[in-house]
Amino acid sequence: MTASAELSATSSVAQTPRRRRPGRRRSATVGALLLALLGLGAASVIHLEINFATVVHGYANAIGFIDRIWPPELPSGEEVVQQTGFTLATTLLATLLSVAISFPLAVWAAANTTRGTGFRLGSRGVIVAARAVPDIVLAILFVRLFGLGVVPGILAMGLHSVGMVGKLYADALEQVSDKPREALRSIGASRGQQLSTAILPQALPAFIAIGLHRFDINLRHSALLGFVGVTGIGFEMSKAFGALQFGLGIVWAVILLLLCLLSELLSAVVRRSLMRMTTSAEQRALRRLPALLRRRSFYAPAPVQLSTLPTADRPIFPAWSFDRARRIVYAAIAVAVVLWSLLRSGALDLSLSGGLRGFLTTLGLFWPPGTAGVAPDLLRALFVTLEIGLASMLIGALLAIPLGSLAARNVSGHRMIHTTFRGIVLLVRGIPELVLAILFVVIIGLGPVAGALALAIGSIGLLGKLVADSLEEVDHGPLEALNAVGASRTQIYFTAILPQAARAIIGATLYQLDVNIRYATLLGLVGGGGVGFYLLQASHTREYEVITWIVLAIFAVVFALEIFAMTIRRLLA
Amino acid sequence: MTASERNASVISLDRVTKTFDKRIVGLRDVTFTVPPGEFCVLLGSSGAGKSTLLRHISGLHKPTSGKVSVLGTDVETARERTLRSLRRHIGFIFQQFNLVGQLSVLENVCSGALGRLRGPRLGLLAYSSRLRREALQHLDRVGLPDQAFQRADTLSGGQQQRVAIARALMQRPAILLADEPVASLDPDSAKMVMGLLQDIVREQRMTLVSSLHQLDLALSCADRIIGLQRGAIVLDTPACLMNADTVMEVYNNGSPEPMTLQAPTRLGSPG
Repeated sequence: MTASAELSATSSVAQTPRRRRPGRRRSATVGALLLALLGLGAASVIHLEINFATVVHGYANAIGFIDRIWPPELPSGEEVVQQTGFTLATTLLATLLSVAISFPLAVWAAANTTRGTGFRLGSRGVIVAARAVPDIVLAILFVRLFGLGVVPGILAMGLHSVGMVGKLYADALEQVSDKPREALRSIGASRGQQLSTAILPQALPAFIAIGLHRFDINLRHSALLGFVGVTGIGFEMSKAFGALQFGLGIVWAVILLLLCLLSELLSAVVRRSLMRMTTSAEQRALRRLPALLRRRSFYAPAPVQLSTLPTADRPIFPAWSFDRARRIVYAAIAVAVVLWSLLRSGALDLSLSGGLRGFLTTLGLFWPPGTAGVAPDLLRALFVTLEIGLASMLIGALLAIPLGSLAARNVSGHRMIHTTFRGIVLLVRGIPELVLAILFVVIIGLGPVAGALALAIGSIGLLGKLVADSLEEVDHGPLEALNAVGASRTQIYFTAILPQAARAIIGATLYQLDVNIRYATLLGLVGGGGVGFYLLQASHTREYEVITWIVLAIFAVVFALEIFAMTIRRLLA
Repeated sequence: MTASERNASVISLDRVTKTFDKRIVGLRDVTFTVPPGEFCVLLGSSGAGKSTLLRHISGLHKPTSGKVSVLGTDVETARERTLRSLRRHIGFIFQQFNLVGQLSVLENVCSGALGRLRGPRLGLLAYSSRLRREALQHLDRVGLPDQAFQRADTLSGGQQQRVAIARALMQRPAILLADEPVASLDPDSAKMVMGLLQDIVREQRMTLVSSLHQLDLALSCADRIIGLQRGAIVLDTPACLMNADTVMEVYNNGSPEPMTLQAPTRLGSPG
């Protein structure tokens, strides 16, 4: 081992003078590609006629809109509880379904736990395919199979989420230390034993955090699925807007917004407590409690000197403690919530076998892909979707890079500034894209401008966070050096911080473009322009082959984009 | 080697050579036998082939040529299943302890029994109370009776290595292999851990093969010292016949560059 490491070290030393440095031509290529991308973004902004006048014009609309929704019609309390229950149950069960499917797939897909290359490629393929098919399309398929209700939502989001959860689970498995496993291997433990004792405990906190993250995302998507017939808040929203009861629709949108913010908050708390698990949680809990309770310490007996007892009398399971009791209570609550969701959603009553019988027949309706004789319209709409993606990327980056920079701890230097801007970024992140889109549709009117602006604002949430994180991760040495020289904050930002994070920010912007194009497709459903409108249209007129065509077309666009992004990443590396 | 000699040994290597990628030589014509109950130290600087040699004994590596026989099993021809059952009788102590930091100390010790259990285990309660009690006894033996229910990664390096020893004892091994067991520890912990290993193998009549690069520790606790240099044995002698000077002499003889063996214990970075 060591010998080979040494050998490779010497050979790399020998190669250093010969290795080509990233030349001027290379950076010129990157520059040209990025300029071309920005140019396309600008052209899209101009072509879609996103300008100040449009927004000002929308101002009048907005006043008229407020007239129409005021006073808002309130749904009955009972109805709110019921629909919120449906939405939460659907989201929870979908997330659990995706976790259950993702776990074995991730074990096969991760390099350190896989059974072989065949398993690895197979499960990676399944994961990529799950991400490629939007949940809205799966929902259309399952609504056709099972009818309106929550079950299509559970299946659609559960299967689509595998694309993200499976990939992140596999990454988490690959990141665990191999040392405990090496020890178990030398003990003679089997594969399953190695997995459950050495690898799973290490990956578990990441698994839970990823699941919570996906729950947040699914909660937003669940509302969108309402527009194709998945019961819950989204369905009520689509009914209200369909019947031009804007006041009612907006109230549902606000309820959804509150739910999303609440869930984001809750998962942030759980994630933080998972991070802190490395130190004794019991001691911290003790420290938080009032001094009086601490003195009496009735709930935390003084540590018993176990060694004074003979071995045979010593406990062989952990003593009851505050921390352990709390963990068990949490676990019991979690189980109760899942059971409640199962009962609530009616997923148990449904005979899946009946639906599955029609599965192949229904799949047949989706194949082969077709254009139903409106190919020019579809292509034009696809082009508009691409324009929405590019325009929202450009405007989003222009908004998110300054905001994200101010949110980074090492840029502003003032606690007030970075916490305020972190708060803004987090708040925007909590707003579902659907709510933003509906808001812009009613202010600016139906069409691509509303979609593009909604996605541009939404970009602040994701891109702003990624920008802030990558700025905070830079090496602090150059900052200190410039500080010692007497450079101003702005000088330090442009000389020491931004250049170090530039590569990460470019990568994040390209990722945002990918996300925006995918979302641009979906927002067409609520009047955000582009090809998404035809998705809804096709499901109403039951021209399912058009849906397949659109999915494949979007996949081709996203795939081409991924190759473009890979080229840039390779040139930057 | 005669047949009687082979029977009297628990580990025997016969002209073992190992090359990696057909170029890098890991072991060069290594031949030695270890009788039962011997405390044998492999001495050498990093890259000398100590870890490679230990991995051959536990069947994690197979020789390119030559024969390795451990507890009557021919390692070079054995199938994976046979090797797994062989490994159940060989405890392995690692430089970095290789504990599962997220699990409790007791559960880490219990995992030493996995080789004789069937199926995966999730959580401490998945082990029978008999096993848990046995694990507690091993924790007593390594001097950590009060830490059973702490998370393993809250312990100091020396304590973690003692937990790893308890885990190895849980295997009820005939042979203990230790790969630089104290290289990540401070000098005091290092002495304590080596002393513990010495006592345990004497009590339980186990065979111990440990790699070390601290000469003084090797001299103070080993029965026998095998010196390795660039994959070949350059020294094989009872420890009581040697002192630091004689060992260094052998190493520096005929070697173009001076040895980097460390005579005094070094301050290792704790794990």
